[in-house]
This record gives sequence, C-alpha cells and structure tokens, in this order.
Amino acid sequence: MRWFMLLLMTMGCGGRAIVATDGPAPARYRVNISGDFGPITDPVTGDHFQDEKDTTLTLTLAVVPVRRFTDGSMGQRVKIEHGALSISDQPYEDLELTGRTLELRTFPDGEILTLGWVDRVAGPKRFMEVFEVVFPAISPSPPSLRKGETASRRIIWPFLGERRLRWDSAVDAKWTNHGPEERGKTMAWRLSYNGPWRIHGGRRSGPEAFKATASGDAKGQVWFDKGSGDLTRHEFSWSREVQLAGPAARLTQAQSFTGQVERLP
Amino acid sequence: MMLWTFLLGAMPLDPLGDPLPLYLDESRVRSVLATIPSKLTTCPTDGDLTVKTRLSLSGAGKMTVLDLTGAPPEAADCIKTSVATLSAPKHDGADVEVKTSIYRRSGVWMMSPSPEIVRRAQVPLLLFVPGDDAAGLAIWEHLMGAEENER
Repeated sequence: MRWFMLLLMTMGCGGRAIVATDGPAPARYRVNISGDFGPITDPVTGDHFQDEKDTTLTLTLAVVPVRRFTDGSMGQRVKIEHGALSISDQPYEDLELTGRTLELRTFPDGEILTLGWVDRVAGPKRFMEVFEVVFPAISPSPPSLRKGETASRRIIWPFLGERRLRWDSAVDAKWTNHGPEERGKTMAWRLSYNGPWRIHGGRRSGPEAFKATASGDAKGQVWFDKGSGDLTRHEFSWSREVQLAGPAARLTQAQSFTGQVERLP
Repeated sequence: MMLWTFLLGAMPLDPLGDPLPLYLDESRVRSVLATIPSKLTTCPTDGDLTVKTRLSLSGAGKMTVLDLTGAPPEAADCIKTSVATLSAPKHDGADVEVKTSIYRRSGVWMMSPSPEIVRRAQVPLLLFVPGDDAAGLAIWEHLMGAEENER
C-alpha cells in the first residue's frame, strides 16, 4: 500500500502530462428544449407587447477542458457546433448561435463559477440569456449521495454581461439518489432533484439601469455513468415568472423549459 | 474522482483568469490598432493629416478599411492597402467594427487614443423577443421611459 501511495505521489509531482497533441477529446451533447413563453405585458397599465410563443431549441455542444485555475476550478470551452430554433413550428432563420463559443468555469463537482463570454451568445437573435437553463443542464452539481439518500444542494450560476449587467440564478434543490440503473450496455446512477428557482440582478448603474427578478420551480433527473462518473443524460422541467423593472415601467413574462441533454457517443 | 485529479494535473494552470481570446475585447482591439502606424511610413503625404476611418476586424483575422475621409486620394489608397496587409487576431465573433482616427503630425503617424468599438444596441433583457429590432426597441423604450429612437 505504501509503495502504491509513493507511486501516486511520484506521478502527482511529475511534470505536466501531455495527454495528446490535440488536447483532450471533447464531450459532445445534444440538447433539446421546448420553451413556452407567455405574453409580455405591463402588469400596471395592461399594455401588451407580444403574444405567446412556443419554441423548440436544438443544440449540439462540444465541451472540452482548456485550463485550470488556482482555486481548483476548470475552464471548459463550450462550442455550439449547431444551433436551430423554431417558433410555432416555423424555423427561425436569423439564429446566430452556430459556431459561437463560451467558457464554462466549474469546480470538479460541476458547480458553475462563471460563464465567460456568455454575453456573446445572448441578446437579439441569440437568446441564450433566456435559454440559460442549458448551462446547469450540462453541468448539474449534485451532492455526493449513497443509494436512497436525500440531501439539499443549490444549483447556482451567474449571468454577466457588459456594462455592469449581472443576474444570479439559484435553485434550492433537494437531491435524491435512486441508485444504479441499466442504460443500454452500461450502468448509470440516477438522481432526481426539485426545488424553487429564483433570480435577481439587472444592470446596476447608469441611466439605463433595470432590475431583473424571477421565481419559479425546477425539477429533473440526471444519469451519471457508474464507471466514469460522466453525465450521460439529463431530463428537466423548469419554469419561472420573469419581471423587469425599469425607471418607467415593469414588464412580465412567464417562461417554461422542458427538455433533455443527451451525451453523444 | 481519480480521473478528475489526473485531468486537473494535466491542464495548463492559469493563475490570472483573463478571458480566453475567443472574442475581441477593447484591449485586444487597441493592440491591433497600435500596429497600423508602422505600416504607414511609406504612404505619400506632405503635411499633417487627420484621417477619420471605420475599420472592420473579421473573425478570419483580416482587417479592412470600410470608410476613410481626410486624406488625399493617393494617401487614402496607400492607407487602405497597408491596413489590408496587417493581420488581426482570429476570433469567434461577428465582424468587429471600429471607428477611429489616424493622425500624421510632423511626419509621424499615430492612432487616436480613444477608438470607438461599435456595439450591439440592445442589451439582454431576460425576455424572449424574437421579433425585429423595432419589437425589442419598443419594449426597451417602455421600460426606460425613453422617447422613440432615444437611447
């Protein structure tokens, strides 16, 4: 045992291993989300700006670790290899997501620390600030649980944009480990979660400051490969009531997201 | 867990956490612009010049002059050609448009210290608005109490 520990220590103290000249192979995921959006209205004046929208977003993502940080977290480059959006069953041709990238910085347990460059996949024609549920969907962070155990752990992530724009999401999730299940030729741990979802933030200064708040619920199931511990599937159903408050008015929109993430072979 | 430990050991360590160079930010745009004056030394001019220009930095790493005013035709052509020979960093974003000035004073070319990077007009609002720019603008104006087209 002592020799084995010595071997491990020697390996740990050695130079950085070159895994491959091209770096580690990316993990690829297919994401399908049905996003149902209620009308955009002013709850005070009753002004109505937009009708309901039923959408489907499909993404193929390539996630590859690119650097680590002194706090133990890791930066992973997320490339949107393909993105397609349909609204009321009609393809939305103006989507500007295919080929764009961002950096997902997480701790080894999956907890999201930052989403670098997320502002470059957000806003008009990109919409990832609305479909931000994709990020915890590919990087859930369950607690370490034995079969049958239940424990609470928050799912958190921030959205940071330019010019002091920021909001933070948190799901106070209660997790349960349902034990290993057969998934095709392999075994996977199945865990489920549910809890309230809250958001607060906005643009904090300047003449165009506004507050963004939301509350709702999140629930889902995740499967992790029993051998490697990799996420293999995530089914989720999240919903929220978004409220924006600017200097002159408030606006609300109900949003719900039902979908799944599947790791591609 | 063991796999993660070894994977972390193999990753390059970044103690600072600067953003990955996936897109061009202001400091990178400035460093690209700073390479322009040295390329203009052969451009024919007699006196001082103040050249206003609009440049585009494409994702493929090419820099192009979109507009240029304030230089005689021969010098203008030379500036356009010289800028086109410069390489800019490749990036994943849409073409970055920059408005800036190029000065020639006492035979020395120099860049304006305050280039203006053209940014997207509408900020993310956490609302799903798939309509055209006018749809988003109407929501923004209602929220901010702005007059039409006032930003």
